[in-house]
Amino acid sequence: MSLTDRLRGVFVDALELPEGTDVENLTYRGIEQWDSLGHMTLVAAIEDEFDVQLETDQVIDMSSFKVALEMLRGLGVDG
Amino acid sequence: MRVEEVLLRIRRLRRPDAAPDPELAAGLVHLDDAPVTTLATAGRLLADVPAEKLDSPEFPLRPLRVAVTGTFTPGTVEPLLRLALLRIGIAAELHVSGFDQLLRDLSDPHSELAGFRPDVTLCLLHDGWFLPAEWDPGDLAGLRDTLTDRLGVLAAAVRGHTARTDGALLLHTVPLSPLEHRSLVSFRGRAELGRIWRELNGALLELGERDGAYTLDLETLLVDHDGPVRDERLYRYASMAWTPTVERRYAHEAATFCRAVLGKAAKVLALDLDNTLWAGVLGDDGLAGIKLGTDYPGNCHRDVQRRALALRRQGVLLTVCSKNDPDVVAEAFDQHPDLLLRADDFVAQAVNWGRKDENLRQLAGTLNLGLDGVVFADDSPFECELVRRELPTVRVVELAGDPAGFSTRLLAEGHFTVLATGATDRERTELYRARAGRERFAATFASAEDYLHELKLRVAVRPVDELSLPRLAQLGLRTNQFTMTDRAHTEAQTRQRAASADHLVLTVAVADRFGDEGLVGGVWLDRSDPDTWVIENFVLSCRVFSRGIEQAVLHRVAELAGAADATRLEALFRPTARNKPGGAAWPAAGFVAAAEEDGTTRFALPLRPPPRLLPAWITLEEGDAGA
Repeated sequence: MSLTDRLRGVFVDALELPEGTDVENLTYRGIEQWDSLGHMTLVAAIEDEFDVQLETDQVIDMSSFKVALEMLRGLGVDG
Repeated sequence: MRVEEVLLRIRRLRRPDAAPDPELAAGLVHLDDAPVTTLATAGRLLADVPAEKLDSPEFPLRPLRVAVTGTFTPGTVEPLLRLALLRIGIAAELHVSGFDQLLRDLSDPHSELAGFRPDVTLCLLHDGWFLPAEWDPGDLAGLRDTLTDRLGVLAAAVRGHTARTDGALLLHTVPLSPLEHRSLVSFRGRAELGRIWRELNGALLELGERDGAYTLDLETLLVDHDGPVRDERLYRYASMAWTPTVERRYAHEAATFCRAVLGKAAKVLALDLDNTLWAGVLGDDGLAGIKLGTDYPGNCHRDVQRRALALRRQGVLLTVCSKNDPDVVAEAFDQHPDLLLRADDFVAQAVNWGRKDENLRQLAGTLNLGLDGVVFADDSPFECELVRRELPTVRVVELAGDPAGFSTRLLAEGHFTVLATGATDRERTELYRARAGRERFAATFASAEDYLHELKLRVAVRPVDELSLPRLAQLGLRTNQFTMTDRAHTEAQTRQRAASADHLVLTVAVADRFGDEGLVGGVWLDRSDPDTWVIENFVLSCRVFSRGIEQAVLHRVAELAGAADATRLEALFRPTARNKPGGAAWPAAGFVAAAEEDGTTRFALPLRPPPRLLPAWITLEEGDAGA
């Protein structure tokens, strides 16, 4: 499975996104589910799935799906 | 139920048109070992499920209004708390405040929290709220004054809240971050800081000694917590003072508190005996053979007894639920020098060969208490799963694996947690024992065939071989209950028979969906008369009684004899002090007592037409057993 697919799965599970959500274009606070608490859940789920530890700056900067994807690539995670 | 299935069923229930799922609430127990992120997901999903879709007569849910407020952001505790409450039968309506609302929530009679009128108010505290942002390590006396001031403010708010409402309020002791400890460079200074901090926690504990306020000693409970109490990233960024695993621990303890508020603590502990209260099998190993001393593993079982005795002294009613011979058990309680528990410590004993779910039902009936007040502790995964399935409200403590962990497991769930104990609790055992009388629980073999079907029992009957022979001979000599004689074959005699064409020695192995029980029995046959095969002995380990396995074995023996053109099967039985369960097998399988000689009864069964003895829930494994 590609990195994009895995990350999409994490978003869908952690934020409980309904079917058909345009996950790739999601942004922080862009939908009801991705509020500050949802953000914490998402961080924990990403750390679990990819076995990484995000820096506080990264937690704060993770403002969209695309940013999260780039961040994981930057950490050397691939598909 | 697997974790994925539980999640799937929760998701299904969120649809507005979904039909109720009465089994789901009891099934939440299957999430216990899931990672905390999974639990949080389940908890969030459950927020959208109305309680009536989860409620059922088998696992009734009780409503409760629970408010959560804190000195930090308490929001992430909510899903874990919701789940922890549902798991123990509480469908809570939750009110969760935002960041650092605690003082306002408790002091303002018109706060949102006050308007919610909670039955229980949970107050989450962290060290950073008590400590001033800048404190002078050279002035610890000044720090103590500041902490005292902060505590005074908190205490006033708590008193105000408890005076205005009739709900219960839960505080907790607060762990101090090691970062503060290390900010001091001297040993003496660190020790003094520690003392000052413990004074604060002492005062918090005192605050929970009266009115509607209670204090959970969280600092103690976190001693064996795996990992840091807070994640510095989430603390700095989101003002979250606890890691998710600490939140889980807290949610569990807070849920236990809520159950105590509802008066729904468990009242009865039903204990298995063999390999639970002592190491070994009393019926087989004998009074002198069971282990209970000061060495491993006896000391672990002795410690379980110590904990059970402590529970009894605090008002928990102890009962026995054991597959054993009642006379042998009575002798053990009367005579074993290392038993801490005696017959008088139990309000009732169900010691027989019947099904444990039936026995628990009868025990609860005799004591006139609901099954939801019963905790069942047993080392057998079979019995535990049977009780979980047949009696979902009974709380099951599975004491499998290393006995060193048994005491911890018995108490970890907090099944018996109440708000306070009093003098009458100590006398409760006497009270109930009078009520229960000395009733002997009748053995019940009522069927729950669907459960046995789902066990997927597989029985293999095979000729003994070099590898299994020593183990079979040992099993034959050690078995005292399901055996047909007190003169079991020695290893040499078994070896002789295995080699002789006039005899046949068979092993019995059993497996089910819980795993492989391995070699659990054997049959010694004399076939020197081709027309009449004689079962000289048949032994079965007590681990596998009451599941129809003996019938399956006899079915295969009859098949083998029939295939060799025998027309009759005979069985010898010599009653001993303990082998009643063995003797009962013959009439149960349709054998008729045909003769008696020198204390030995000879039972007989015609093989034409071939008897059908195999229970529908057992699969006989194919194998070349006719050698």
